[in-house]
Amino acid sequence: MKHNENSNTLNTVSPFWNGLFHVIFTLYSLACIIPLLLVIGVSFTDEKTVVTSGYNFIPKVFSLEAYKWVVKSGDAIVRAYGLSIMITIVGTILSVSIIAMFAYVISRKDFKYRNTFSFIVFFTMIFNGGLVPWYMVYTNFLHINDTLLAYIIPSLVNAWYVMIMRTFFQTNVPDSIIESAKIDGAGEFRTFIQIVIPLAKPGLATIALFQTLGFWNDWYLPLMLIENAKLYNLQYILYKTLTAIQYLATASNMTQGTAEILAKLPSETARMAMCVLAIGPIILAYPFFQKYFVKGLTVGAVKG
Amino acid sequence: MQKAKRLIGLILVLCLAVTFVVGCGNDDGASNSTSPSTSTASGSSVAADSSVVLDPVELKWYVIGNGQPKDMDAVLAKVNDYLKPKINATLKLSIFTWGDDFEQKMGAKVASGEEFDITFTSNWALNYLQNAPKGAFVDLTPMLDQYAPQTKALLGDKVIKGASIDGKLFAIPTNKEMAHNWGFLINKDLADKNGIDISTIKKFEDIEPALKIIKEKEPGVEPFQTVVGESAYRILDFEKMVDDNVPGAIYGDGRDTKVINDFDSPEAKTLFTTLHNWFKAGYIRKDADTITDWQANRKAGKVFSAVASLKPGKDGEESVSSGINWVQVDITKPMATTREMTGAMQAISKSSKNPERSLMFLELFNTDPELCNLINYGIEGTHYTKVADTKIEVTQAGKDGYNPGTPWMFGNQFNTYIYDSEKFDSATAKWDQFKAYNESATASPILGFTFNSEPVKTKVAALTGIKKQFMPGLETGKSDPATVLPKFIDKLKAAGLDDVLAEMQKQVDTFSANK
Repeated sequence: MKHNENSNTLNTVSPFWNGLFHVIFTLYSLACIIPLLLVIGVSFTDEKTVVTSGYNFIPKVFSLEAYKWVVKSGDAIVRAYGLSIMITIVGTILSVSIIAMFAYVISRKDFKYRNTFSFIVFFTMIFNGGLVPWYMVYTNFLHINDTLLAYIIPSLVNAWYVMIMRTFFQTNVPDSIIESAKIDGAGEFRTFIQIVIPLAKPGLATIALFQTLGFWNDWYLPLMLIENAKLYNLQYILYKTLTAIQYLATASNMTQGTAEILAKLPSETARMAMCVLAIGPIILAYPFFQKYFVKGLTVGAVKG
Repeated sequence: MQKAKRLIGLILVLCLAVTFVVGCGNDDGASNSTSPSTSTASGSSVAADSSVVLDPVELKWYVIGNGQPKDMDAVLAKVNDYLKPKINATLKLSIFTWGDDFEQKMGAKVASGEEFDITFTSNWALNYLQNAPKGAFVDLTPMLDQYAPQTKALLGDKVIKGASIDGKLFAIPTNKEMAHNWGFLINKDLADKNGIDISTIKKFEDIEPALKIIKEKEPGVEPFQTVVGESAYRILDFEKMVDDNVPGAIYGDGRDTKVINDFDSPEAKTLFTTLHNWFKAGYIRKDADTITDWQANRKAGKVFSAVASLKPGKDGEESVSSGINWVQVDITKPMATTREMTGAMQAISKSSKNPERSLMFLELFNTDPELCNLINYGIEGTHYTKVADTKIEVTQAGKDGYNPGTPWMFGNQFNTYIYDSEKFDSATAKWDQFKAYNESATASPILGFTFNSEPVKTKVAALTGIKKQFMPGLETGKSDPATVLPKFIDKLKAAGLDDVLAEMQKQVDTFSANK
């Protein structure tokens, strides 16, 4: 009864709703976590056991075979892992810088052509050239196919994130601060780096997290643009393996040697082990961004 | 005023966008229609030169498989040493992975007109029957006599006719088994253990007593596996006009060219009834109509028998790959249809600058055993060792570094070595059986025919939907054909089955008349 007089009374929910929300979100969290635990469980199970008795959370026969296979198949997966990390870091830094600079410029009211440039960005959200012209730009014009640039250049600028950042700058960086910096003698770059960026940290962190996830999870760009197997990233190797297995299981027209080919692909447990490894680094990215993340999202949503 | 200005601006931008799109479209069309003439023009000029001296060229070749092997560069270096003095070309071979990896990459290359020379094509990957008429590949018919006479002789008229579209050959089929037949794959260990005499099985129904024994003595084993897609229905061997999903076929034994609704045939009704009885007797698993992964149980030794597409030595291949001792029982007669002819082929791209040299390479690849085995199995002593004259064993270095494992996909399979684990004494023994099999095959009366479903496209889509609704129950024996089959047929008829069948018959008749 005492705590009813607490000053937070207005903001607390009734015990009933509180309990209900707890149950709902516990169930929801379980729905997210349980499949993950199953994947981890299967990845540590003996392959034969998986075939004969199906998936189990706790391995009936414990085995490290799957992870041994991943290490043994060696340089391909390890290299892909390294590449994924590198592409994610370089790509995120580059793309966030470019998005931030672009968005900042079109957020300034004293920039004469800001509507034109906003329109150019906006236009790409509604219209695009289609797959074949898109492909030709990268292969015939920029010639970045089959290089690491193919992972980065196509996702450098995302029109939607530019819009979010523009709104963020407009609402969180008052004109008067920029003006006072100018009066104190700061040039445009100095204003941007020392005054505007620190103020925009939550927004930048949000974009950075999205882009990190985007670069890490990307399998589409290598699907279209990368031929050299040495340049495949981890997600693409996973994607390729899974689609190949599905394809072979259903390609009834292909009369010959399906079983023989399937036998050469990674086993069920090895695929699970690859999944577990693919989750690895990206889970570490969350706590890093988290302290800005919530704020950034709400600010973007309410005022955007 | 301000508003009017903006409106005008917007309209201008839209106009620009539209002209851009239209412009692109026109451009595409133009390049498509002009490219044949330029390529044939350059073709004849290079041909004249080639008899004198060949310029060095690089040939880009894309195929489907298990992805690029680690030691590809080492093998290609050997290949190039070999090719240089012969046709002054170097080869750049890329193996993409089954499914999207190959489909999407090649789709983009073909659509954008990117330069490359040779690609794998077939009726199941980078669809030959769709891409060739669109002008993606070079018409090889006029070039065969000059650049690939031996390949032409090797394949023979039957195969070339079967792989041609409107009399034009757009790709070189792999020389392999060129027929199919259907029958059973039976788990030999289970059969022996329970004293089942396989030799008594001559037709489909003959397997029933064996299923009864397995049902009683081997709990946990599926006596008869028939699942969606991988189903027993295929034993009827109808030659389908479109694919397994669309009604409309001629009898697969080549008796005539009358197009019928195969689902409504007396044979289908008998089969569905048999399956339903087996289902009720527990020979077929209860959830068969929802199963798509048919491999898992086979590998685990939990399947006794299933209907499969066969060829000589199929049981041996399956045994090696699944680790289960299979034996095959042939039920239907070998038939040669368009499907086998277009099952694996190499096409030369319209975007290739050196179509003649590409064809010269394919000729060499089809006729030269050394080159063929080098590309199929890698370097002798490194990737494999010979255990007999034509039998090889893959080394560990081979397993890790170079093991495409798809000799049926390109070239001339009759020139390749065989694995030591196969049940044949020598490669010659195996390939002689294949040749005999090919020769024994009856050619389909409509060999080379492909149905153009464009005029009845929407009806075909509707029929496919209905088939997917009813067929899983029927082909797995779950539905009672006495009640379900008439409903199925009625629905098909209501969706325009008769129009589709009439269109099929019309095209078949036109094809037969022009033959």
